[in-house]
Amino acid sequence: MTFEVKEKSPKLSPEMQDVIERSHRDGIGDGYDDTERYKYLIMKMLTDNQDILWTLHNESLEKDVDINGNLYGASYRNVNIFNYLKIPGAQSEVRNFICFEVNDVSKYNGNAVLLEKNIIFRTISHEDECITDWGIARQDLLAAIIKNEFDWTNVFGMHIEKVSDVGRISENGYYYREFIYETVTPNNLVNKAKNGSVAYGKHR
Amino acid sequence: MPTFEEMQRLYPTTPIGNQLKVMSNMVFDETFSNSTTYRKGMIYTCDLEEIEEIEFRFIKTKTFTFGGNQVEYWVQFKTGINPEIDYDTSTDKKHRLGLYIDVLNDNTKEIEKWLIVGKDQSEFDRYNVLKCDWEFEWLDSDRKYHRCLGCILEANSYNDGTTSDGFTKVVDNIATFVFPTNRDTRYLDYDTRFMIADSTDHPKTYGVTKITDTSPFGITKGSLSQTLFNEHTDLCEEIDIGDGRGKVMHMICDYYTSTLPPIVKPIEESIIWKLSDVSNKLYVHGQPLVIQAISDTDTTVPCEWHLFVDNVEYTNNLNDLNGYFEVEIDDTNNTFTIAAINKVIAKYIVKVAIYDEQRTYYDFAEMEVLI
Repeated sequence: MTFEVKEKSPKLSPEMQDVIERSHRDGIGDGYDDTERYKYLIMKMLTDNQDILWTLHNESLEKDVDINGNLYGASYRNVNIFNYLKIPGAQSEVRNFICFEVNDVSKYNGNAVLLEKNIIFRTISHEDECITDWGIARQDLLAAIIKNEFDWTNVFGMHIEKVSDVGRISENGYYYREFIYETVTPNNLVNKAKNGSVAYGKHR
Repeated sequence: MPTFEEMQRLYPTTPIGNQLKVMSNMVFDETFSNSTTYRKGMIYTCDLEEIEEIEFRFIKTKTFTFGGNQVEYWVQFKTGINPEIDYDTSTDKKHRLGLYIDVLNDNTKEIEKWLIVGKDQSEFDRYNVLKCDWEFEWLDSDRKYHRCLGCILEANSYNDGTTSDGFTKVVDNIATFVFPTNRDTRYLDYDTRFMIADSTDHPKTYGVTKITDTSPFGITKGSLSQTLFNEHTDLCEEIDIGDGRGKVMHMICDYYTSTLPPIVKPIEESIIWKLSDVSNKLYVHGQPLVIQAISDTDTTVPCEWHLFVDNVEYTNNLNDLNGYFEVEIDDTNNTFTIAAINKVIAKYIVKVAIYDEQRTYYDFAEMEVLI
């Protein structure tokens, strides 16, 4: 018995389907979307980390664990972990969140082949949830777990370097820690730049 | 020879005021129907279930002007009749208002439904009523269909109904809703969207931004803020959604956000087995869904589970689902656990159904596989 894959929405050309599939591949491929590849890897690392899932403290998702006592990370996507910086919808219940964003900021030293890239994390905790039994505030604990995993990692290819790490308050009872990593990456060259004197445009 | 009433006033055992009150109550009740405001109409529970016919006076409080909201009227019952107390079947006895009442419009000869929204305690109690002018329809987060008769009021807006950040200009109107706290509105949540519009070409949609349900008890009211109509997900057409009313006009926001049909179950009183509420989203590699069968009698017959994937039954050949789903049936606790473990089955609809002993009625839960 096999199930056919159903058509996804929006309808995409085979070329763009390949690009998205390559972006979501674990190993290094070619012809992917750089930002989506970063976001996919970050989301995977966050939802695979049990320390993060337990610290996010979503009671309804803690009711069921697998045979190893682990939480199901996929259920946290777009509930407690977002791959953009805004938490959607009006919040009527206390929750904790992680948001992140990936930005290409500027050319590296005027070199068009290399780019400076930013990864911004926000670990957000409501003031009712801040206190943990470990003596560390929840938003700081979430940040510490992420930093433990991401500091100087080369999972994206180049090492990433933390350039900023600040605690902030929001107006409506949420505390958050925002920290920014910086790295230098090739300027989306894979499978797009060709040899010769022509610049790095796409050849057809 | 003095009458009994006169003797009572001359030699009172209770204060004169109380005596007068008793007598004025008698006069009030005796002359109750001698008024053009006299009406007789059905009174309903907050769930719009008939209670009984009741006599009342329907009294105007102020004159409507076009620049303002619809005006409240008073409904006055005979003395000693307090519907919120007399018909209170709740266990906590909070005497909730929010009852509906039929009022015959003398001029149009039409029966209108009015909602009891307040109580003015005075010598003869009067109840504030508002005319129900809108039927709210919505789906909750589990895609259960709800419907409630209520009132829309205008709310004062400080702007022209739009807001702009210099890049886009979006609608920003506000309104107020009032309806009884009943089995549908009890679970109303923030951001629930209603479509409130006469024009079906350019429907207006509103999201709930404020809910209060304790002033007074029995009335759920709040604020609505205009949201954007989404023609891809919001329903605004004549269709049959399976609620027994046939093909009628429906205005339901977020109707097409899932390929799952909304849950529009008729109320069945004689269910022996029914399923616990469960999410309608089954994430691949996500939390398994645990569905519990609940019986309302001490039956010894085990419940009989049926599993469908896109309307194809796999009950007797669960092995076919190996590699796609993990299914576990616990006959002791009557639970059915299902997990999705393969991305290939995204967007498939899984239906878990259960029959009762007579096999006459079954309850089911449907869920969409998502990645």
